Amino acid sequence: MAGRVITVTSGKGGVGKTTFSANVSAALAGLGKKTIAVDTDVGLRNLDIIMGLENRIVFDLVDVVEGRCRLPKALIRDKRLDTLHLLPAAQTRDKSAVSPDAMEKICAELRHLFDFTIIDCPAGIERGFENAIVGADEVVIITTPHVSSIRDADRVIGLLEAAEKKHIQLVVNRLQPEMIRRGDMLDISDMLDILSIKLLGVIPEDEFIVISGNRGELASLNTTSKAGQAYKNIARRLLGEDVPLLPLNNSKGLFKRLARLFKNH
Amino acid sequence: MVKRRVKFSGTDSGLLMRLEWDAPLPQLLVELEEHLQQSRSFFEGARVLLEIGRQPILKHDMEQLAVVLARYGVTLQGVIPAEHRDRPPAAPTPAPAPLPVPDPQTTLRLEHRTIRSGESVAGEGHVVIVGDVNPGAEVIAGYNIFVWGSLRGSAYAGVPDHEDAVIAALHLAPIQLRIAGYIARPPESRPTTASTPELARIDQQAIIVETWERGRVLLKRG
Repeated sequence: MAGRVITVTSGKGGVGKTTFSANVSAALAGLGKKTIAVDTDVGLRNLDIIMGLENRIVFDLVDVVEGRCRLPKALIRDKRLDTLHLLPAAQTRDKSAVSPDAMEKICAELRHLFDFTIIDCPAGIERGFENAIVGADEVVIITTPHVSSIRDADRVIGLLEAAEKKHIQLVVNRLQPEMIRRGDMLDISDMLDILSIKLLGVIPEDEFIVISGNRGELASLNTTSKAGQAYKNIARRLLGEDVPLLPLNNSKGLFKRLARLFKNH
Repeated sequence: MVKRRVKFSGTDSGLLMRLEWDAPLPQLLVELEEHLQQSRSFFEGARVLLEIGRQPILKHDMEQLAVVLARYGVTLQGVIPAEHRDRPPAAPTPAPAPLPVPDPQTTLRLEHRTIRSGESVAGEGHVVIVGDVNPGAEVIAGYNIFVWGSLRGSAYAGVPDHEDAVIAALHLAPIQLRIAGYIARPPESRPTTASTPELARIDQQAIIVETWERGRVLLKRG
């Protein structure tokens, strides 16, 4: 079995990489795919908290790298889904504890154990970023509709192109259709115009994300959350399904335009 | 006067020892010792190179010479071929004809891609980008800059002092423009949606931006 290794990155911090990684991993697992979410944010780990698995950590990524345990032993199985797993980062170390070489080996091993390896990248473009992308087949860039976030996404895409990563897709997070309709928020077509990469999905702003994150619950496992539905749709698109964008209230025009964008890219 | 079989001379290469091999080694060693004896203070602590001619010199002989020299505080540093000293310094080989220097005004750097934030593309002559220049990216040229796409980053043309350089783009919405020593930024009120190609150049000590007219010749000739 040779699974897919997908890195989730953004350049800028706080745009929703970890939430995306947790939710899309859970959505893929929910669709029956054996999935592992990997936290590469050594020293500032969060993915375990978002997934509600913090209290199950015994070994972590750095333990594997430094040979204190074998890889399978550090993997934590999710409490809800048998197909969902987590490889946590170390909290008491820093990024230099992991080398790109070591990370590449771990990715190669995970590729044989899982259908999907979702790597949650830390913010920034330094060592942690390098570690997170080295073993990736595909990359998902997360951006919010803010100029600074788009600028950083553009920088990261440039670095990924230089690293010869071919499959780069964009996810626009925390979109507020109402604000776009009023002309107060950047339009998706403007973002695609600048970044000129394929759009994988759009996730609406949803306060359930804050609530679920704090509780260690996952929106993509919730049936009523709009963002959760968007994550599930993205998971299905990753599996090759042609899933149209969500219709959101009062924004039919916008999403009709979005549907066109999907077709164009 | 008896011909000296052991000679020392100072050269550019250092202190040189020359032996006439028309006597057996033990004889040479005796003569060497005499020579060293005579000018003991001169040789104390010296380093010499043994000049060798065509005949081979055996390792064993070298060692014996070194032993005698060492007794007078002289180090045998190595050997040097005789020709090396005799040959007049080689005439310097004529330098290869210089490669023609490309005229910077005619060199062209062509980039067929999106120039993204954090990237810098520089060329001595003209720089042509077929694609967009995104915010946070910069293009630097000795002469003109042409962007067949959107220029949303920064462009510095005519670096350092070619005031006749121009910056042209299908969609000119830069963060900053510089031509030679002049700097311009678009006015805050300027709409960024202009859909006609535009051209920036220096006119009366300022950078002006004008619509590119169809068929107009951009470059001065000659």
